[in-house]
Amino acid sequence: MRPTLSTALIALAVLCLQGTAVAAPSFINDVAPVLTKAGCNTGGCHAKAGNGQNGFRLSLFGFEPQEDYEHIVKEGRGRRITPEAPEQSLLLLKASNQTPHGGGRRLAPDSEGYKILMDWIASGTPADADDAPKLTALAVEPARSTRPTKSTLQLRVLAKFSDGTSRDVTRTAVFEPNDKSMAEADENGLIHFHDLPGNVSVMVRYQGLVSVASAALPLGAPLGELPAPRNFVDNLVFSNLRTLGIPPSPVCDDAAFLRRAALDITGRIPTADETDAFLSNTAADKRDKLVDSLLTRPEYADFFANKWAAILRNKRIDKGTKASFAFHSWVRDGLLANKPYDQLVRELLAATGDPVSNPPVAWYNQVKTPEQQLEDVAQLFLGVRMACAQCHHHPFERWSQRDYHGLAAFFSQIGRRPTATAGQSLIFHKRGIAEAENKKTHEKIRPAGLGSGTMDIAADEDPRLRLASWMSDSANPFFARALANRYWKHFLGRGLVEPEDDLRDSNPPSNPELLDALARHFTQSGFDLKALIRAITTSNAYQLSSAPNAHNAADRQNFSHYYPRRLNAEVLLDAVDQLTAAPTDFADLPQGTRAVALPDNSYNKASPFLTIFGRPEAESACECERIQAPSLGQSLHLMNAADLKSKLSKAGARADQLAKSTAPDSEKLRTLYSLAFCRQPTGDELATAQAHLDKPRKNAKGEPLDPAASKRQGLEDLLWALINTKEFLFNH
Amino acid sequence: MRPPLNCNGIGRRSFLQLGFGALGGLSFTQLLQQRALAARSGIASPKAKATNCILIWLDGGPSHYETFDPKPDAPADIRGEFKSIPTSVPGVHFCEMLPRLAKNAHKFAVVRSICHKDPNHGGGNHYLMTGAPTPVPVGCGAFVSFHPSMGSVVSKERGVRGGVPAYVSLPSMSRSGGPHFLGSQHAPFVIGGDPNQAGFRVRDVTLPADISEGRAHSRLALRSSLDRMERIQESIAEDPLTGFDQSYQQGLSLLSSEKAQAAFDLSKEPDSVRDSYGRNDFGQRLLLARRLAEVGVSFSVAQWGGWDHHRGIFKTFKDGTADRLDQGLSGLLNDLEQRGMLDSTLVLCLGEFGRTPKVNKDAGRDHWPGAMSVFMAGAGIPGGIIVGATDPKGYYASDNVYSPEDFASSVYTKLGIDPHQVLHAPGGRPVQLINGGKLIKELFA
Repeated sequence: MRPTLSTALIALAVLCLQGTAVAAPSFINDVAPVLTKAGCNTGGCHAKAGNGQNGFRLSLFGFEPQEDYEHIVKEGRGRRITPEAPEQSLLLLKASNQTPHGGGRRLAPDSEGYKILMDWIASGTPADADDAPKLTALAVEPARSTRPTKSTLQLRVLAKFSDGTSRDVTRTAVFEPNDKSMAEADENGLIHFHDLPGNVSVMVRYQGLVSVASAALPLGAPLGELPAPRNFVDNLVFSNLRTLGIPPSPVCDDAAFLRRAALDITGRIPTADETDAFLSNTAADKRDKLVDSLLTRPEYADFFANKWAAILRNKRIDKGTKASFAFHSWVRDGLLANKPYDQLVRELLAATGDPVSNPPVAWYNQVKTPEQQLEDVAQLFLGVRMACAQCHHHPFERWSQRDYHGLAAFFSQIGRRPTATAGQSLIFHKRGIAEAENKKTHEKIRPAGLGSGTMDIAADEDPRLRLASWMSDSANPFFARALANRYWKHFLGRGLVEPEDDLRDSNPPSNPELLDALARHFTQSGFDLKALIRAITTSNAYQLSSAPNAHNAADRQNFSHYYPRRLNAEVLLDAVDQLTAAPTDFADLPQGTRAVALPDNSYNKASPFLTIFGRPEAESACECERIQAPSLGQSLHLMNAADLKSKLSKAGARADQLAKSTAPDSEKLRTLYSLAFCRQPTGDELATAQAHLDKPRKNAKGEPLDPAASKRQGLEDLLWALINTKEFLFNH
Repeated sequence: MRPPLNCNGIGRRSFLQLGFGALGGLSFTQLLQQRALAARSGIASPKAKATNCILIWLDGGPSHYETFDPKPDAPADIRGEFKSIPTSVPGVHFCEMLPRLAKNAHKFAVVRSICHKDPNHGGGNHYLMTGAPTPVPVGCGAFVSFHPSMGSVVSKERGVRGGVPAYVSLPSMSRSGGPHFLGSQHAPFVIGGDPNQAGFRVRDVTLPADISEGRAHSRLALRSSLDRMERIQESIAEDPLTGFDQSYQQGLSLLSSEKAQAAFDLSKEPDSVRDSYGRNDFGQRLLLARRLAEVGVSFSVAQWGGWDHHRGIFKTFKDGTADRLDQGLSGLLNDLEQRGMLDSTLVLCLGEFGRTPKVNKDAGRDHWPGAMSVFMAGAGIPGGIIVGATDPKGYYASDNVYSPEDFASSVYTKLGIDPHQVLHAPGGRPVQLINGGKLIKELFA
């Protein structure tokens, strides 16, 4: 069907009514958004890297409208546009699939988008004048709402332009819900919510800007009695649960808290004595006191140094241990002394000298180019992923290539000189004006923090110090939030933003007030890491039971119960070593060194256990390199591995000790339960385990074993069974 | 009757009969029941015909001159020390170091015209193992993952068959052989160790040597009765405890799968067959890969490191490297053919790139992505064809030039997987499985 004159007139009339003074559609403000909305310029179609699709190329998500204009109007020997018969333009014939189109029908001939294209062609495919109004802001209404499940919500998108006008661009904006199992959007911005309660957000895109509408879909279950709030964390977690009508699980018992806090703060399961002392303590504030005491332990520093060393890529170069050991110690000592976080970051960022006398220099020997440096720094300390912006405007973000090179410029004056240590350079500040070149446009860009203006930095000044100052300024919107979110995830199993290092407008937090409050608390404390940990772990929100109730089992984002997770590789190996009293030996390190305290990744190779359970190789700045997901290899290793087998049967190890001890079985069983689970066995469990120990046993040939051997085998098998339970393998 | 024994001398049939399933929990019993049901109703049989893949990765980048694309008429500093020899296909010549493959040339195809632009091991491995170039240059030592590997995608598409994992890698995971965003359940099951050693065993898939079946049985029973953590069954809860239970059950089912256990045991293979692959780690890995394909492993990678011949390439080839490759690959090809498995098994042999035309001062050749030779056989690929060509001196692919995207598209298509499907990374980002990529049409003649 050909559009008639009258429909074209109506389209024109609509455009006039919408407030733009021009009669012809603007390429940038009208035409390009139609192509975006129709999906023409996605990476799989005409914005495919290289030459687009079948020779017709558009910029990704229409971020380069000038280029797109050239491609549509001037390339393809002019046949994409037929001014004398607009409806015969290849652009329209293909888009509406009247001429066979690999992408099928993207625009119906009676659609508004088709009419806009048609009208633009009929007007002579005008280019936008240099002073044409430019998009300055995008807003979506309602930005936040609370809606019942299985309901709908009409979003309205408003675009503001440089000439002061604003327009409703709902029909040309693109809508993308972040969880399609909770909500779907139609092309006119009508959101259909499904029957899953929780928080969902819809990203709205128009030209280069994004905006987000968030909606809370309450479960609406009766809340019952909430645990008493102990600090600001509880106020905000519980008020979110109240809004959503998700009843939290009760506060966990002492045994669960002890095991959880010790694992999360120090990466180890308490000894039997520590467990006894805590469980028999009757002081009202014993949980707070436990947190305080765990934070003073050297194991706290070991555990968090292990976390940071991996994402700071602490690896050996040419098998040399000097630099990687020194860097690990530097991180560990800084954490132990509770050096303020901004200071740690400043010392790392501005590191100069050789890596032996100034260990954080080692980072610059792993992360060598300004591009890698800015990408790592942005991801590590700002929670922002910049890699996309090197080549194109990030489709879900506001970062452009200008922002990318502005950050790169901070790292443009790094000088290197070889040192006596193989593979390790000395790092110094090279005098000169810091700038970075955009390789596409050859524009030279001066240093600028994300979303901030260009800095004037003298040739004598190390630009990295200015970057550090920009980051740790209390008004910086990224620095404290990124750390708060990273640490929240460490303790609660899931970030307020997921993944924890991907903070962006289009990926909003599940509880924005809480993230803000944590960041504020962290900033106001002078970037005190231990104070942040204390605020999190002394809250009742952290201390909720992991057992779900009738209403909250499906909740994975509002912290209505504690989310269990498998102990990470190093912690698990240490836990097995402690339970079996058979420590693992690591090359070149003193006996008794725990896996959590290993200085670098080089030990993975010799330890199938660490590899199989996913200890990272420190290859990236992403915590996602650590594998936490279960695998076939892991379960087989737990069942059958030779190294576990030998820990069970080793002379002098736990099974041997207990077999030789004259203490009553019940006492031995209590010790084992305390070591594995930080709790006493129930009567049932005692009976089951006792019956197991009392069972007559045979050897592999089927002959009966003597009582001593039988008892020892029974203990070995009991240890095996305890190690293989989820209660042992998980932090819960 | 004597039960069948595995390499530890433990009878698996009886292990299964002891009622492992009842002890491992209801879902294990259900698993067995479902399997029995499937076998009776023939549900499993259409899948049995699915094409499997054995990918042989020569890590470091094999020279095209010293393998499938010799240049006898090039100047001496390019053609190297070796002569070329005629093959069973008239007009086709290989390097003289591969006499067995030359005799079998009518059974496989060689693509001489795949090329790309990444001269680094990290980037080249990523490009050929995933079909996607790295978005940023990566160094030589890098293990990088920006895209799911072919093996992981096959695992996702096919899933677990008969208790055996879909994707296996021997003896280690290739640099970019991981699942990326597909999740660790699609990471390869890595079988380390040297299968040519007398005491070779697949790690952890059998009970420890001195744990009797009865004892294993009682340990598992004890574990079930002590394992009291509550589980959340709703899949939306993504409860890691449930995920753990699933992989634990998969482990139990592998442990009790006679088929899988037998496949792991190379000693079941007659000496004549073992010899035909070559009595070395590479040859025996290929034999193991064939045994795994037989029991339903969809994608195996056999890695062989050390093909980065910057120095002494001729000496290395003469010292057994070429012979092991020649024997192993020919052995696999002939064995698959004799067993009638060649039609349903795609065999690939390649590395990250070819090597420099000019022999360097250390009698070696350096990295060269401008040309490489890729061996492809089975799955209906016509034998005896040479696809494309390089220029007379072997610098660049010159005729019918194909990209790694074309290669990966062709592999996926042979395996019945749509190379142009769109996958979704967590967060919903759409990812084209293969960006562009046309079929290497000669392979589909």
